[in-house]
Amino acid sequence: MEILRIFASEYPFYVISGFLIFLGIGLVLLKRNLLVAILALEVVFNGINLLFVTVSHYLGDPKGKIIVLVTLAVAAGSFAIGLILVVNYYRLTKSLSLEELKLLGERDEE
Amino acid sequence: MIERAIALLIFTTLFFIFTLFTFFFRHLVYQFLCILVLMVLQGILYLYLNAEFLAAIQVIVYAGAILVMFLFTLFLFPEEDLRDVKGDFRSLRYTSFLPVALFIFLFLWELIRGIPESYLPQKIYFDLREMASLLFNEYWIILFILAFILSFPMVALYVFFKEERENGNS
Repeated sequence: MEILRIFASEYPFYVISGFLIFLGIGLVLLKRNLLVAILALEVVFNGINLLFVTVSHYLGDPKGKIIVLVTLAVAAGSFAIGLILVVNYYRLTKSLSLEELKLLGERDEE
Repeated sequence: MIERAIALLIFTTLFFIFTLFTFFFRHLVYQFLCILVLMVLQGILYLYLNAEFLAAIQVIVYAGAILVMFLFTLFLFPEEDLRDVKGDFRSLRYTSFLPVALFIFLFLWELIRGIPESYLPQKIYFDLREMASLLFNEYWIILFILAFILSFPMVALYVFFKEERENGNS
Protein backbone atom coordinates (compact mmCIF):
# COMPACT_ATOMS: atom_id res chain seq x y z
CA MET A 1 0.00 0.00 0.00
CA GLU A 2 2.87 2.32 0.73
CA ILE A 3 4.21 2.00 -2.78
CA LEU A 4 0.76 2.74 -4.20
CA ARG A 5 0.61 5.90 -2.09
CA ILE A 6 3.97 6.95 -3.52
CA PHE A 7 2.81 6.24 -7.05
CA ALA A 8 -0.33 8.31 -6.57
CA SER A 9 1.79 11.39 -5.90
CA GLU A 10 4.03 13.24 -8.34
CA TYR A 11 7.04 10.95 -7.78
CA PRO A 12 6.55 8.74 -10.88
CA PHE A 13 6.57 11.79 -13.14
CA TYR A 14 9.92 12.88 -11.74
CA VAL A 15 11.28 9.35 -12.12
CA ILE A 16 10.05 9.10 -15.72
CA SER A 17 11.51 12.47 -16.65
CA GLY A 18 14.76 11.28 -15.06
CA PHE A 19 14.61 8.16 -17.26
CA LEU A 20 14.17 10.31 -20.36
CA ILE A 21 17.03 12.69 -19.50
CA PHE A 22 19.32 9.74 -18.67
CA LEU A 23 18.34 8.06 -21.92
CA GLY A 24 19.26 11.15 -23.92
CA ILE A 25 22.61 11.68 -22.21
CA GLY A 26 23.43 7.98 -22.36
CA LEU A 27 22.59 7.68 -26.04
CA VAL A 28 24.93 10.56 -26.89
CA LEU A 29 27.73 9.17 -24.73
CA LEU A 30 27.47 5.49 -25.63
CA LYS A 31 26.35 5.29 -29.24
CA ARG A 32 28.65 7.98 -30.73
CA ASN A 33 26.49 8.46 -33.81
CA LEU A 34 25.40 11.81 -35.19
CA LEU A 35 21.86 10.71 -36.02
CA VAL A 36 21.45 9.21 -32.55
CA ALA A 37 22.77 12.44 -31.06
CA ILE A 38 20.06 14.46 -32.83
CA LEU A 39 17.41 12.00 -31.64
CA ALA A 40 18.80 12.04 -28.10
CA LEU A 41 18.54 15.83 -28.03
CA GLU A 42 14.81 15.47 -28.62
CA VAL A 43 14.54 12.88 -25.86
CA VAL A 44 16.21 15.26 -23.39
CA PHE A 45 13.83 18.01 -24.54
CA ASN A 46 10.93 15.66 -23.76
CA GLY A 47 12.21 14.86 -20.30
CA ILE A 48 12.54 18.53 -19.46
CA ASN A 49 9.06 19.19 -20.91
CA LEU A 50 7.63 16.52 -18.62
CA LEU A 51 9.32 18.17 -15.64
CA PHE A 52 7.84 21.53 -16.64
CA VAL A 53 4.32 20.13 -16.97
CA THR A 54 4.55 18.21 -13.70
CA VAL A 55 5.70 21.18 -11.69
CA SER A 56 3.18 23.40 -13.45
CA HIS A 57 0.37 21.00 -12.54
CA TYR A 58 1.36 20.51 -8.93
CA LEU A 59 1.99 24.20 -8.30
CA GLY A 60 -1.22 25.24 -10.06
CA ASP A 61 0.54 27.65 -12.39
CA PRO A 62 -0.27 27.46 -16.13
CA LYS A 63 2.88 29.22 -17.28
CA GLY A 64 4.84 25.96 -17.39
CA LYS A 65 2.51 24.52 -20.00
CA ILE A 66 2.84 27.63 -22.14
CA ILE A 67 6.64 27.30 -21.90
CA VAL A 68 6.35 23.66 -23.02
CA LEU A 69 4.36 24.77 -26.05
CA VAL A 70 7.13 27.18 -27.03
CA THR A 71 9.77 24.50 -26.40
CA LEU A 72 7.93 22.08 -28.68
CA ALA A 73 8.11 24.49 -31.60
CA VAL A 74 11.76 25.30 -30.93
CA ALA A 75 12.56 21.57 -30.70
CA ALA A 76 10.80 20.91 -34.00
CA GLY A 77 12.76 23.69 -35.74
CA SER A 78 16.11 22.67 -34.25
CA PHE A 79 15.48 19.04 -35.15
CA ALA A 80 14.81 19.90 -38.80
CA ILE A 81 17.91 22.09 -39.05
CA GLY A 82 20.01 19.44 -37.27
CA LEU A 83 18.86 16.77 -39.70
CA ILE A 84 19.75 19.00 -42.65
CA LEU A 85 23.23 19.56 -41.19
CA VAL A 86 23.76 15.83 -40.57
CA VAL A 87 22.71 14.90 -44.12
CA ASN A 88 25.06 17.51 -45.58
CA TYR A 89 27.88 16.41 -43.26
CA TYR A 90 27.40 12.82 -44.40
CA ARG A 91 27.47 13.96 -48.00
CA LEU A 92 30.84 15.61 -47.38
CA THR A 93 32.60 13.01 -45.23
CA LYS A 94 30.66 9.74 -45.79
CA SER A 95 30.73 9.13 -42.05
CA LEU A 96 28.35 9.52 -39.13
CA SER A 97 30.82 9.05 -36.30
CA LEU A 98 31.06 11.66 -33.57
CA GLU A 99 34.76 10.81 -33.15
CA GLU A 100 35.60 12.07 -36.63
CA LEU A 101 33.62 15.28 -36.23
CA LYS A 102 36.49 17.71 -36.78
CA LEU A 103 35.75 19.12 -40.19
CA LEU A 104 36.29 22.71 -39.06
CA GLY A 105 39.03 21.84 -36.58
CA GLU A 106 41.55 20.51 -39.12
CA ARG A 107 44.05 23.02 -40.38
CA ASP A 108 45.32 22.79 -43.91
CA GLU A 109 49.04 22.04 -43.65
CA GLU A 110 49.94 22.94 -47.20
CA MET B 1 -6.66 7.11 -6.24
CA ILE B 2 -5.64 3.44 -6.35
CA GLU B 3 -6.45 3.20 -10.06
CA ARG B 4 -4.28 6.20 -10.77
CA ALA B 5 -1.45 4.72 -8.70
CA ILE B 6 -1.63 1.36 -10.46
CA ALA B 7 -1.73 3.04 -13.89
CA LEU B 8 1.29 5.19 -13.05
CA LEU B 9 3.13 2.12 -11.71
CA ILE B 10 2.49 0.37 -15.03
CA PHE B 11 3.59 3.44 -17.01
CA THR B 12 6.79 3.80 -15.02
CA THR B 13 7.57 0.12 -15.61
CA LEU B 14 6.91 0.53 -19.33
CA PHE B 15 9.16 3.59 -19.46
CA PHE B 16 11.92 1.66 -17.68
CA ILE B 17 11.61 -1.33 -20.03
CA PHE B 18 11.65 0.76 -23.21
CA THR B 19 14.56 2.86 -21.92
CA LEU B 20 16.54 -0.34 -21.44
CA PHE B 21 15.48 -1.60 -24.87
CA THR B 22 16.71 1.64 -26.45
CA PHE B 23 20.15 1.09 -24.94
CA PHE B 24 20.37 -2.58 -25.81
CA PHE B 25 19.24 -2.51 -29.42
CA ARG B 26 22.17 -2.23 -31.81
CA HIS B 27 20.28 -0.99 -34.85
CA LEU B 28 19.14 2.60 -35.19
CA VAL B 29 15.70 1.75 -36.56
CA TYR B 30 14.88 -0.36 -33.49
CA GLN B 31 16.12 2.42 -31.19
CA PHE B 32 13.93 4.82 -33.13
CA LEU B 33 10.88 2.57 -32.68
CA CYS B 34 11.48 2.37 -28.91
CA ILE B 35 11.72 6.16 -28.70
CA LEU B 36 8.49 6.42 -30.69
CA VAL B 37 6.76 4.28 -28.07
CA LEU B 38 8.25 6.47 -25.32
CA MET B 39 6.87 9.62 -26.97
CA VAL B 40 3.36 8.17 -27.24
CA LEU B 41 3.55 7.03 -23.60
CA GLN B 42 4.58 10.54 -22.60
CA GLY B 43 1.53 11.90 -24.42
CA ILE B 44 -0.63 9.61 -22.27
CA LEU B 45 1.17 10.87 -19.16
CA TYR B 46 0.22 14.44 -20.08
CA LEU B 47 -3.42 13.37 -19.79
CA TYR B 48 -2.79 12.38 -16.17
CA LEU B 49 -1.46 15.91 -15.60
CA ASN B 50 -4.64 17.57 -16.97
CA ALA B 51 -2.86 18.82 -20.09
CA GLU B 52 -5.06 17.52 -22.91
CA PHE B 53 -3.89 20.07 -25.43
CA LEU B 54 -0.24 19.23 -24.80
CA ALA B 55 -1.03 15.51 -25.07
CA ALA B 56 -2.55 16.04 -28.51
CA ILE B 57 0.38 18.23 -29.56
CA GLN B 58 2.85 15.66 -28.24
CA VAL B 59 1.33 12.84 -30.28
CA ILE B 60 0.81 14.95 -33.40
CA VAL B 61 4.10 16.85 -33.42
CA TYR B 62 6.56 14.39 -31.88
CA ALA B 63 5.21 10.98 -32.75
CA GLY B 64 3.52 12.10 -35.94
CA ALA B 65 5.77 14.71 -37.50
CA ILE B 66 9.28 14.83 -36.04
CA LEU B 67 9.93 11.12 -35.67
CA VAL B 68 8.36 10.24 -39.03
CA MET B 69 10.57 12.88 -40.63
CA PHE B 70 13.50 11.22 -38.86
CA LEU B 71 12.42 7.83 -40.23
CA PHE B 72 12.35 9.19 -43.78
CA THR B 73 15.82 10.64 -43.23
CA LEU B 74 17.03 7.22 -42.08
CA PHE B 75 16.00 5.81 -45.45
CA LEU B 76 18.58 8.09 -47.10
CA PHE B 77 21.50 6.41 -45.36
CA PRO B 78 23.07 3.07 -46.23
CA GLU B 79 22.22 0.25 -43.88
CA GLU B 80 25.75 -0.35 -42.53
CA ASP B 81 25.96 3.21 -41.19
CA LEU B 82 22.85 2.68 -39.08
CA ARG B 83 24.33 -0.24 -37.22
CA ASP B 84 25.95 0.23 -33.85
CA VAL B 85 29.30 -1.28 -34.73
CA LYS B 86 31.69 -0.08 -32.06
CA GLY B 87 29.88 0.51 -28.81
CA ASP B 88 33.22 0.81 -27.00
CA PHE B 89 33.26 2.44 -23.61
CA ARG B 90 36.90 3.54 -23.92
CA SER B 91 35.95 6.51 -26.04
CA LEU B 92 34.10 8.04 -23.09
CA ARG B 93 35.80 11.03 -21.59
CA TYR B 94 35.93 11.27 -17.82
CA THR B 95 34.58 14.79 -17.90
CA SER B 96 31.43 13.51 -19.57
CA PHE B 97 30.49 11.81 -16.32
CA LEU B 98 30.50 15.02 -14.31
CA PRO B 99 27.05 16.34 -15.36
CA VAL B 100 25.59 12.84 -15.10
CA ALA B 101 27.03 12.40 -11.60
CA LEU B 102 25.72 15.83 -10.60
CA PHE B 103 22.26 14.93 -11.90
CA ILE B 104 22.25 11.58 -10.07
CA PHE B 105 23.33 13.29 -6.85
CA LEU B 106 20.63 15.98 -7.08
CA PHE B 107 17.99 13.43 -8.03
CA LEU B 108 18.80 11.12 -5.11
CA TRP B 109 19.07 14.06 -2.74
CA GLU B 110 15.60 15.24 -3.71
CA LEU B 111 14.22 11.73 -3.29
CA ILE B 112 15.80 11.31 0.15
CA ARG B 113 14.84 14.75 1.38
CA GLY B 114 11.28 14.33 0.27
CA ILE B 115 8.80 16.92 -0.89
CA PRO B 116 7.38 19.53 1.50
CA GLU B 117 3.71 19.64 2.35
CA SER B 118 3.11 22.89 0.50
CA TYR B 119 4.03 21.17 -2.73
CA LEU B 120 0.66 19.42 -3.07
CA PRO B 121 -1.63 20.43 -5.92
CA GLN B 122 -3.45 23.60 -5.09
CA LYS B 123 -6.05 23.66 -7.78
CA ILE B 124 -6.80 21.33 -10.66
CA TYR B 125 -7.76 23.50 -13.56
CA PHE B 126 -6.47 24.49 -16.97
CA ASP B 127 -8.57 22.63 -19.45
CA LEU B 128 -8.49 23.06 -23.22
CA ARG B 129 -10.80 26.07 -23.31
CA GLU B 130 -8.84 27.87 -20.63
CA MET B 131 -5.58 27.22 -22.44
CA ALA B 132 -7.00 28.51 -25.73
CA SER B 133 -8.28 31.68 -24.11
CA LEU B 134 -4.93 32.18 -22.40
CA LEU B 135 -3.03 31.63 -25.63
CA PHE B 136 -5.10 33.95 -27.77
CA ASN B 137 -5.70 36.69 -25.20
CA GLU B 138 -2.81 36.92 -22.78
CA TYR B 139 0.06 35.13 -24.49
CA TRP B 140 -0.74 36.03 -28.09
CA ILE B 141 2.80 37.27 -28.72
CA ILE B 142 4.00 33.69 -28.24
CA LEU B 143 2.01 32.59 -31.28
CA PHE B 144 3.80 35.16 -33.43
CA ILE B 145 7.18 34.09 -32.06
CA LEU B 146 6.32 30.44 -32.75
CA ALA B 147 5.36 31.21 -36.33
CA PHE B 148 8.62 33.08 -36.74
CA ILE B 149 10.67 30.21 -35.29
CA LEU B 150 8.90 27.62 -37.42
CA SER B 151 9.82 29.53 -40.56
CA PHE B 152 13.54 28.87 -39.91
CA PRO B 153 13.61 25.24 -41.10
CA MET B 154 11.66 26.13 -44.21
CA VAL B 155 14.12 28.91 -45.07
CA ALA B 156 17.05 26.58 -44.33
CA LEU B 157 15.62 23.87 -46.59
CA TYR B 158 15.11 26.40 -49.37
CA VAL B 159 18.69 27.69 -49.07
CA PHE B 160 20.22 24.21 -49.10
CA PHE B 161 18.30 22.99 -52.10
CA LYS B 162 18.75 26.25 -53.97
CA GLU B 163 22.54 25.94 -53.57
CA GLU B 164 22.39 22.36 -54.78
CA ARG B 165 20.42 23.32 -57.86
CA GLU B 166 22.91 26.06 -58.68
CA ASN B 167 25.82 23.62 -58.26
CA GLY B 168 24.07 21.12 -60.49
CA ASN B 169 23.55 23.70 -63.21
CA SER B 170 27.17 24.87 -63.17
